[in-house]
Amino acid sequence: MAKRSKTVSGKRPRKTVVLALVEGESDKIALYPVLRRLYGDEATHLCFATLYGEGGDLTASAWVTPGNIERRIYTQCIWYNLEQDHIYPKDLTEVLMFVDLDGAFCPDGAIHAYVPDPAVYHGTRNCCEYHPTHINAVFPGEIADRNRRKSANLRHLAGLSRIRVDSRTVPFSMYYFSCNREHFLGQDPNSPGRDKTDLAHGFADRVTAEGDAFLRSLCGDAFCSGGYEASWQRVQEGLSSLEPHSNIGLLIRRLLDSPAGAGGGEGEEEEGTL
Amino acid sequence: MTEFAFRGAHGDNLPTVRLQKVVLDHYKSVTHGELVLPCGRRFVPYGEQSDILGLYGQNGSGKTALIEAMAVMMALMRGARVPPVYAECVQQGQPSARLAFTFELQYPDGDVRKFVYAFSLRAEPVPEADRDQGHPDNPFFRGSSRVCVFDEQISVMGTFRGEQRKLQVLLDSAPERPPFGPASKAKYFYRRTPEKDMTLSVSRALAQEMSRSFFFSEETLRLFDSEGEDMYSPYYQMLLEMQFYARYYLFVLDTKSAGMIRLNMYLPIYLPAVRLRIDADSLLKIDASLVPQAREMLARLNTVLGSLIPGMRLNCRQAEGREEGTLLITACRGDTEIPVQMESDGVRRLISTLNLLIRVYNDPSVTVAIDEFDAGVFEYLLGEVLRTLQHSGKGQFIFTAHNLRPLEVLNKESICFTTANPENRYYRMKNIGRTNNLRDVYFREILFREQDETVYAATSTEEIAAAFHRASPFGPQP
Repeated sequence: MAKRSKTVSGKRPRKTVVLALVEGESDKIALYPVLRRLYGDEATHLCFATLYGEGGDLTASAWVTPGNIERRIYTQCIWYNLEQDHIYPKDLTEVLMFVDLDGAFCPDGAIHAYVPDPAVYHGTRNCCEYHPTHINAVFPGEIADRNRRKSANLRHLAGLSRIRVDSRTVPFSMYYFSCNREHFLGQDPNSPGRDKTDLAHGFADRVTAEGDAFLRSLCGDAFCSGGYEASWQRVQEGLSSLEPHSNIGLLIRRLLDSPAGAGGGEGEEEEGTL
Repeated sequence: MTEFAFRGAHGDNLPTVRLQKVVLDHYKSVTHGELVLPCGRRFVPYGEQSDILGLYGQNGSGKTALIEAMAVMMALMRGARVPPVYAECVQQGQPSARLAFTFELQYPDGDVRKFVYAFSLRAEPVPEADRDQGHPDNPFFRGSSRVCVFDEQISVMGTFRGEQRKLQVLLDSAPERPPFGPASKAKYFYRRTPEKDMTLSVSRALAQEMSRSFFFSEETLRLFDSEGEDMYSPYYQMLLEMQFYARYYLFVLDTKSAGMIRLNMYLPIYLPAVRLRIDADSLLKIDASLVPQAREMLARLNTVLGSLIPGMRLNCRQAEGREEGTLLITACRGDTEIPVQMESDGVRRLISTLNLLIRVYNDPSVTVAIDEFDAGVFEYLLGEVLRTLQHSGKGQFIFTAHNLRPLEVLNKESICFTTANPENRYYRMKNIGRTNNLRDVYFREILFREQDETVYAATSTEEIAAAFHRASPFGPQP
């Protein structure tokens, strides 16, 4: 069994913790092998937290605004996940966030009213269908409101390089799938919940089987050609947030190309406190 | 020799015996493991403190190996046969396993001595016709091989009548020195003659054949005993004291006994040197003359049982239509009375081991080792029992468990962990602060792996989920 080298004090170097904020269980299944491969399992512990808010998606929840979203993320999502695993905020070296855009940046004109198939409609007000050029919604006004909240919150988070966790700040970056992960991977963006898990397992199996070559293939998106900020700028234009895009390639490239292979974010050395 | 006779012969100078250290090599999953009990780390004077050790760790990391090694040692020191089930315990690809146990003996007159008993084990095939019952508590365990004990070695050190002696080998049954070595020590046990050497050589061969200890076997001790008063050396006395300790003060319950309770075959009640069996119909069959004693034992048990499970007590009465001495044992709670075998697993296990716990609490020389002590016991109650034993008990108690509550209530030195490294199986955490909650530290150690040894081979929820999915009978072929 390979042992890590010991430090002067006789202790082995402490593992670092990377926290991944995701939207649901299928994201954990799909992203775990990706991150495991990128960070390795010797020096980093991967911890997942689900972003739950009212109606499922925290960034689109009512009462979540750019002013309070950081605090909401900590109190509603991060805190109890760390507590369960006996991890302290001081252990975190990086926070990653993965979001589905769900067409949040598309103009209101692209939201069309439609009458859903009664066999699948359960009466939810935010019921909609994603298409590359438009969103079909039962209540277009609801979706337009949701998009306004979600896009404001996402714009705020995209501008952050560190996020507040308790009394500390931790390097932060956020990666999107447009309009959602299934769509980006060439699957049906409107898959029902139970299919999502199977699709996620299929994706995870491919990552495990094909390795780095498969991860490199995810970096080919046009929006990855600029930097992190440019990738967020470009996805906000026009109908881009409904088309299949993702800037996860930036993360993959950063970690695969860095000599250590793993490690924290850009600002790891500075200890930020508020 | 009975307990009473032994006490008569040896007067009041009987030592308190504690197990201090166990070393296992090539035994089950343990390539090498060294475990020092709290009383081996610092001196605890005669009868003042209890000595508790909880062994924790991942499944299959050597917890049960320790208890089973102790069971083998107990059988050998009692002069009894090692059950053939333990033959399979030698690590694959290794010719033999070696076990060593260090005891501390504290005498009322102030002498403190150490007694080290080491021996090797190997499995020997048994012809089909000779196979018999495997385990005293569990007839289902039947092995195709038997245990052969060889290379026994007994060493002692400490103060003998005020004089300090270094660690020295007293008895050694290595093959090159028949019947045993070292020759210079034989004078402490018997006057050497060719006939006696011959008798001992036969005894030695017989002991190996019968899965027994040569030094603790009846034949050997009878020969030493026949030498008379003038040959009665302190070394020989120690040998007798250790056998006495193993017979009346040492109790090892491994999971092979607990299996019977789970299967509801019978409920063993452990008493000093006796095991009562309450059968599947909740009947206890004993000699009619022993009924008053059984009632007294139940009354003592009830005193403690009522404090552990409020309102519960055991009743016994003569079973109708059965011969004298057949008692029906029932468990009462309030107005309800049910046969004891109908009680839950956890309650029956508590009843079974309660007598031993009472002895650990009251007797400084008692050593009890229980595998999976937490099975079926409510977490909080487990903590309460252990805390009581630690704070006001007197004896020695060794247990393995998976429930982590004891990490919070016991002293830090009372907790030991098994590691993922077979070369160094037993490990105590370092850098534990006085105010640290060991349970939290343990969880963090699982994630962060800061200690010198890995206490848990990593698992992850996401990997487990992926594995479950891959194993689905409806999914793709693996």
